[in-house]
Amino acid sequence: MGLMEGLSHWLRQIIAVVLLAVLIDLLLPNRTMQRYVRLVAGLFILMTLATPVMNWMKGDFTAKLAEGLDAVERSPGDADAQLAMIEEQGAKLREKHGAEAAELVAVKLETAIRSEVQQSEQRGVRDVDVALGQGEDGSVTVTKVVVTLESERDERSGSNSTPVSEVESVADIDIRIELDGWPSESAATPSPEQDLAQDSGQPAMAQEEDADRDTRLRVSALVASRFGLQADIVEVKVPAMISEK
Amino acid sequence: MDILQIVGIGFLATVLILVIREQKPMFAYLLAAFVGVAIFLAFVGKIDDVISVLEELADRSGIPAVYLKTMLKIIGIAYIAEFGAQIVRDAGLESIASKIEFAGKMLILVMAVPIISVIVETVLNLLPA
Repeated sequence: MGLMEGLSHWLRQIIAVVLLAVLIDLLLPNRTMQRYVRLVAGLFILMTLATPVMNWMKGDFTAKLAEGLDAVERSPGDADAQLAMIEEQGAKLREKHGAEAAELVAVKLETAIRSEVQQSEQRGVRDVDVALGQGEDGSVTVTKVVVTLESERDERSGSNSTPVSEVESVADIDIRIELDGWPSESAATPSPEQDLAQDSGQPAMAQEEDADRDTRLRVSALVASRFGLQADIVEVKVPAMISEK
Repeated sequence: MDILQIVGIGFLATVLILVIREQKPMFAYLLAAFVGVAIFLAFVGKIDDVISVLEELADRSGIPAVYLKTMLKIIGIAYIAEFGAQIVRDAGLESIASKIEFAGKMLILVMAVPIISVIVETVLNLLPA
């Protein structure tokens, strides 16, 4: 049965290839090409006729033939172009991998900074943003770190943190000197209501601003020292008090 | 119906070209080339039907797909080379036309190289060393 099946398959193949060859012969535009096309078609018919012998001789010659025909299609002249294409694809892949790794690094760094700052400052961190850049040699460097702290207002309602209160007293002194100096330089003695207004409003705000600045400096120094970054690329933001009020 | 239109276009183009050729041979040649391209492009799409039949035949009889692929490529090369050669021949440059045909023949023969190599290899293996 197997023999009969193989035989019928073989005959079917021969008939199909001969038909194909005839049709292609018909399709040809003129006589100049005919001899060449007939040669190729004849070779195909020969191949089909010899299929059983070839299969017996050495396993899968069809795959080999297909490989050879494909190789003809990609003529050797294109080798350079192909190499360039492959290299380009490789570079693209590499770039993609690098970008993914950088993304991962940024995320990890953000979580690390966040937990570090939270621990040392006893203060909520709203957002940490790490910007990465590529150096000329393709190495990834941290170009910018932006730490946004929770506003102090929220913090006070929650747990009273010691560093913030410490700072306040320091800031108090600073502000006072400046306030005393200003009006005396402008000659006139400060009027009581002016003084009152400045005492009630300005110092409080200035205190907070100063406290913020201090916090900022401290946090940026901490982040810089902990993660081996330059202090000037670490930016600490404290949400503006005015908007909170 | 289509064939009437095509023949009509052909006659028209021929008459026009004959008229123009006396005054402006250049335009006559351009017109001929353009009409040729137009007819070729209008009907080259019809070959799709024939090819689909061939594909079905190949599919059902189980001959390897490379056979059909290679044969269709040969037809394509033959048609394109022939077409280009005829346009160039219209311009009276027989030598360039024959070079184009030569290139087409070479490409067709290159297609045959893998087949020949497989056959030769098999025959050599058949003979005792």
